[in-house]
Amino acid sequence: MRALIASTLLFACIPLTLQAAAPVSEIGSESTYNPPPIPVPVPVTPTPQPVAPAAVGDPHYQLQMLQDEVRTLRGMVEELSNDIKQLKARQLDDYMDLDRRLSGMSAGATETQTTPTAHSASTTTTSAATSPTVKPTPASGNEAADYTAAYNALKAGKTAEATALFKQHVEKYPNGTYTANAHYWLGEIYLLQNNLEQARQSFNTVTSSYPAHRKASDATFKLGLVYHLMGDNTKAKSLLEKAAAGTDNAAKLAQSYLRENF
Amino acid sequence: MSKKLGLVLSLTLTTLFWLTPAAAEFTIEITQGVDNPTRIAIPPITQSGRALPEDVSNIVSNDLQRSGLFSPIPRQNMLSFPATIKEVYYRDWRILGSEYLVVGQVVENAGRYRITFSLVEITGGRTVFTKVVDGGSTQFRDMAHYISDQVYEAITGIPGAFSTRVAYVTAYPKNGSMNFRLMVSDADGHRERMLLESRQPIMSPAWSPDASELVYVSFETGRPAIFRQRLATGAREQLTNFKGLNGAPSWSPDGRKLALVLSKDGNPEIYTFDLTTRQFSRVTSHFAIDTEPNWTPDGKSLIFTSDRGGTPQIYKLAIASGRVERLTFAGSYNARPRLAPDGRTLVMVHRDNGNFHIATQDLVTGDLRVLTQTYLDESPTVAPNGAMLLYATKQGDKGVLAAVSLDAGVKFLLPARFGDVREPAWSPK
Repeated sequence: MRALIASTLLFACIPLTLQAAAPVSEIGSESTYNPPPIPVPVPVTPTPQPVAPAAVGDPHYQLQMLQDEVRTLRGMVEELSNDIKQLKARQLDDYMDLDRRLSGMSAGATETQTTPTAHSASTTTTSAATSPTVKPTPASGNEAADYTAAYNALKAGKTAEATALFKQHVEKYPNGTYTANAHYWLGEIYLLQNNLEQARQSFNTVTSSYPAHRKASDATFKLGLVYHLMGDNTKAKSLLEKAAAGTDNAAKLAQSYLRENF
Repeated sequence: MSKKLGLVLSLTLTTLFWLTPAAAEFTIEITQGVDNPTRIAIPPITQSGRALPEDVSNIVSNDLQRSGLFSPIPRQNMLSFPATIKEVYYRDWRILGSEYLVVGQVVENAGRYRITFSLVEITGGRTVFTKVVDGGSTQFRDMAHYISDQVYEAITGIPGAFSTRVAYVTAYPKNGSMNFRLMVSDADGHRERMLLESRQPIMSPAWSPDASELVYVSFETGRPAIFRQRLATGAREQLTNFKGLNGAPSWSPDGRKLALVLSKDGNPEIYTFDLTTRQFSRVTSHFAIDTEPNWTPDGKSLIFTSDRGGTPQIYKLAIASGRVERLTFAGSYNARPRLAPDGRTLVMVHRDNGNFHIATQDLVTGDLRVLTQTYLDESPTVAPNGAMLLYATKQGDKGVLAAVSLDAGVKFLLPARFGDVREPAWSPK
């Protein structure tokens, strides 16, 4: 019986290559009948598909390939968007720096209309800057003149003088046309000096006492920014979201700030 | 079903609670401190000259030294042992160059003890505060840690984290196979207690926000399953029993939910589990591996590790909107994220030149900082005051715990006397 099996196996294995011959001799030498696979099917199918192309055609394999490819691409997209985000931030910083230098240079000369572009963080400054000069209200000539003086001091970079003048302004005209603006600019100056608590108070005055004022949305954005710098992220976020809900420049700034920091 | 499960568990496990073997208690080796630590003197705190069951001033002294910010003056150098402010001769302490002095005394009343302690600023010659702390005869260590917290906060402005605890897993060979233990100890390594012992691996312990319970993964049922366990009573409950992966549980800040990883749908995905309604809800859906979820302090987002971008990186998921944002971009491996209590400092395992180190990333500025120089660093866990973090690393071929301050200024090792220590989790309070 054993001899028969051995001989059958031997015959069946004759067309096999040398590599396959080794197991045969093993089988023959084994005393038990435990290796049941008989290598007959190999010569029966004389045109076997090469292994690799079959696997490539396999949908599962293809899916795997595509998933790997998608992951790699996703990684690249994520890294590129991060690079773009960083470049944008750097560009904005450079722009602000340039803007600061330009306004520094023109400060000594006559008052000029700088920064005509309307899509950067300095727009708050610009839009606020133009408002009092473009639309002088006839209500009180004195108030407008005082405000312009204070504002010009600020524009000239004389922050100490500007602070004093704006402070004087809010005391002298507690219900004036430009009182909210004066509070707002005080906030801006304090923020510039990194005097966060006073900046917070000034912006808070604008948002709470003059909620309908044109500067209120700017102040809401800046107040959110101040809270963020102070580390109170929840308050910052709710204010920034409030500011971002509008359609004006402050809203755009708040939206981009939220995107980048929250 | 649960009854049957309980029976099986009690048969297959030796579950020992509140055993106090203390065999693996830590010793502490400070490897790096700040350049100019504050010099502080803590003369013995006694009950009118009689020693206490625990050396309170020594515990305070060790606590402060371990923070790396203080250099306590050795007791043998002290010229006097004042117990009250009146007994302080400033000159004695100026000679020693001490900047601060802590004096205290104990009064017993019907088995309760009250320590009255004061912090004195030697240079300015003024009393910073005088406070009292009460406790029973077994609570001297708690009272000592309380004193450390008060002193640390008054001088550094940061709340102390000396009264906190640490959970970790130890592994050591026993009768030819590995034995695993889930342990909890004080933050200084003392009063170590065993919560669970098993022949199968125990992994990923995480605290409940009130620090009264732990969740962890145990393989005792033959496959990974998530359990919760009450520290005071030792009572435990199996929460998951799905096919495949059940892992990396993390308790939400409000205590109502867990975030965890399940592969029951074929691929590791992140789920939340409502502890009241017992409902699972899947929060990630991606063919890549999503794992190691951890909550942001506001409870609105999860940070997790995913290889959806080709390499393991850290992502943030806003739970309400499902929006996913990638947080890490430096290097080809960033994993095991944890957030410091400020919600801004991300702590993670970062691969740098082929070595795994603990790193922090400021989420606002994006600045990455590698904190450790040890090898194969893993499992960072941040102290509730955000000043220090613990992590697991290798010393020789042994797994040990190490600590580093988040500014990388202070480093120390907590070598256990035997066995491997891994997966530390610092209690939230």
